[in-house]
Amino acid sequence: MSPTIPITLLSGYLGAGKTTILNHVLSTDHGLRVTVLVNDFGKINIDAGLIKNATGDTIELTNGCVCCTVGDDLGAALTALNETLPRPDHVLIEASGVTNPARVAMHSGHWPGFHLCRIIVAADAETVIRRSQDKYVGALIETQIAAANIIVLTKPDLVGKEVASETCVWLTKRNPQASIFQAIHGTLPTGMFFENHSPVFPHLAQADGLSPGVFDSALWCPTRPVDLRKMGAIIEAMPLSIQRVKGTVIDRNTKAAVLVQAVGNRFQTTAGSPQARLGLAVISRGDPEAAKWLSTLLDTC
Amino acid sequence: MSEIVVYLAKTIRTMVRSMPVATAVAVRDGQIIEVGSLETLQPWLQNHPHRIDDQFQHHILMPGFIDPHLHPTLGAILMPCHFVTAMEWVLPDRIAPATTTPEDYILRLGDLERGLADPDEVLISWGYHRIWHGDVTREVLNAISTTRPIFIWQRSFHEIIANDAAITWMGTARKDLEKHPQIDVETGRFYETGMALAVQSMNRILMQPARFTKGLELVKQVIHLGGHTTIGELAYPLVDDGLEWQLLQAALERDDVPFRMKIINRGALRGAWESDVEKDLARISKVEERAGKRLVMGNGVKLFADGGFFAELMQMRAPGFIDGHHGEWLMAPEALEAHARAFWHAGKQIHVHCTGDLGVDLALDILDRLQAEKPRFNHRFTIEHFGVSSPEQVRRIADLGAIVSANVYYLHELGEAYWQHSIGFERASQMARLGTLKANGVTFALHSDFTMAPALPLNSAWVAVNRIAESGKVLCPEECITCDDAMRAITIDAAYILGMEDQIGSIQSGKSADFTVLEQDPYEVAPENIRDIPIWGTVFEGEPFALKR
Repeated sequence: MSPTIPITLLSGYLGAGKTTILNHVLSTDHGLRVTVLVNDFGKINIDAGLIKNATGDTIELTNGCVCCTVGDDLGAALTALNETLPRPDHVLIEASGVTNPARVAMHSGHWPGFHLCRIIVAADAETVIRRSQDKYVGALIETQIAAANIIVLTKPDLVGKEVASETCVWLTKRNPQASIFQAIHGTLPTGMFFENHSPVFPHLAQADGLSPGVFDSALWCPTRPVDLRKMGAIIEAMPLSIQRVKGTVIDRNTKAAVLVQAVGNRFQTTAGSPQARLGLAVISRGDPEAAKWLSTLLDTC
Repeated sequence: MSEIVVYLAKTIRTMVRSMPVATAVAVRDGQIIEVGSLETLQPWLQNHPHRIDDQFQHHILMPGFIDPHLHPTLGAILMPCHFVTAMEWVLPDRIAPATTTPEDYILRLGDLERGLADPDEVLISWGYHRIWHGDVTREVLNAISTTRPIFIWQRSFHEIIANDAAITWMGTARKDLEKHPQIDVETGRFYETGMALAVQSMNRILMQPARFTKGLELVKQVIHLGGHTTIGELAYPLVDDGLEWQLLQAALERDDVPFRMKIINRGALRGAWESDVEKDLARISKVEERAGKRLVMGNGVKLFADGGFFAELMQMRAPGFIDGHHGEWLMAPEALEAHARAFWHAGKQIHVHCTGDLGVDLALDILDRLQAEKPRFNHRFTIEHFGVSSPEQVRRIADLGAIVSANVYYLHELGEAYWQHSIGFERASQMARLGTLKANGVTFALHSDFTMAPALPLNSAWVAVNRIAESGKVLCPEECITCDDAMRAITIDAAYILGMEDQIGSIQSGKSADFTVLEQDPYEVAPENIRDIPIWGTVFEGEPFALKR
């Protein structure tokens, strides 16, 4: 009996940045066969170079992702997915802006062949608080926030550090169990979407081994091949507020792509994928300057 | 040019204020030449070959009834199902009697099952309603048959109940059914998202092309049975234009079809509510280019604010629902507004599905802004369904020049249920406040949204005039309208909602010769008897079409 396929639900109101996040997921090398179900391809922006094959309602990418449009019948789309071979490792569903994530979670998470992994809700730093008081959508916004395992605060750069912080506090009050990430341009560690833990339901356990709270996420991009020894030394000395570093760089010595990972202070390298986008995702907590500080040091590698 | 045919009738209710009653109407080549009496028609008759047709001399003629909002494709899916219902449903191929007790429900279902000719037929029965029929469970259905799969579909599509044979037939792994929080395998109940799983299996039957085609034939008969000569498909396509257009053309573009259907295109397709409106405009332009005789195009587009009324998903203003649940938006307010704006500037007639008073608020807020940007007269912005609203909103509708197409049948079937279990007496009893519309001079039509209500204009008119709920109790008589108001709402004002008032809706010189032929006069019978008036049939574009008996 084959195991059920995990589903991650990406929810959040219109304009909260779901598509930007999806574009990031679709162009990142996470090494997983992920099928992304979207409402329409219109806003999806994928580098032509990453497209392996495209038909009317399906786009296959070089990184193993498949992006499909779902019409009106999510159940039918899931049944079809369950019957394709090879089966996807993970399914990411983009919910529409006005959807109650708990309902889609109930629908898809119990569909034969699937289980719900987590619910991610995008919240726009510029508008979420105001929208939560709107007479038309206020109740919907509160419902969406309450259903999240992970809340992604998008466009924090457009409101400044103070407002972004206050908004995170506001979000935490509304959903004390959720982990909160700030993300610019949809940049997030994709592990957060796909790391496979036992099935979670809204309001229950933590995602990804991260305790609830507010996290900062940054992306460091190398401009040239790196000195791995120097990089390892920097990472092993980095402050505890930096919880995770992960991504692909080119080794200056071998010119090969290397996958770099650090959890806490443990630094590991493994063979990387030549097609992967270069860059390291940095996650920190409680110290917004830490990621910037690390980036400056990494520039010297 | 053919000869003139003069139909004589006991009474002709023209729906024209200037000549409300007549006794003869002259028709030629599908068009009304003149209406009046045999005497007043003489100048025409003396100068043109004609014949007198007195087959209706003991009947009442009215303008052909118009239902501006129903969905033949949805009807085609439901019609081939078996009906065991709390209310009587008069259908073309059978009459489903009113089944009002749990015992009778089981008896009827049992009779049905035993009477099925095909031993392999999967029995799908629609109309179950707990309040009347009690608790029907897997075990109860097993007692009817242990071998034949039986699916019971709740009247408002809230749940499906299945017997063991049906559960097996579904083919879904038992563990998947057992672990689903909205499936109770013990009682055989599939509800909310659990129902989707049952429906997916049932679609193997419901969506069979031959069955669908047969369903469409039944829908045609249903429409004729109601006395309609024009209907409006108020959200085309249901899912797939390519397929649905072919099926509709094949079924409707025929000389033996006694009605026309106006197509109102969806402003955004289902599942693509947040789409790029430029794409929708292009799609709609293409469909509007299609010219047909019975499939008629126009200038209307359909958008959606809040969820379904029968599903209690309307968006309500404070104090909301008794149980505190929230309704849903089908389109995000910004998406609805962006679409409405583009269609408004393109000069289209916009119809918005609004079931709760907060949905009405949103539609009116949007209309207010659009009017400020680009004032339009005669824009015909239509609030569709009009479940719950306030008197102040009706004034605003009047102020903004909007009009209403109302599903007054909601009051009859849901008025008491929603009083007790949904929103309370005050707002439930006042739902579909037609009296207030009339008092504020807002043009309105009645519709059925078949299959949500029976496709019977006289039945809808009966609800509008009497406001009688399921139990016989009258709910909010202050919102009753007169018989004349109700007749207008199923003829000339319904034509107005569809933008076709120049061609149909009243018996008047130059209009299409569309009549509904009645055995009794709605203006003469007791108001409680309006819905019982027998219909002889219709005249469509000058040609009589008797109802088959």
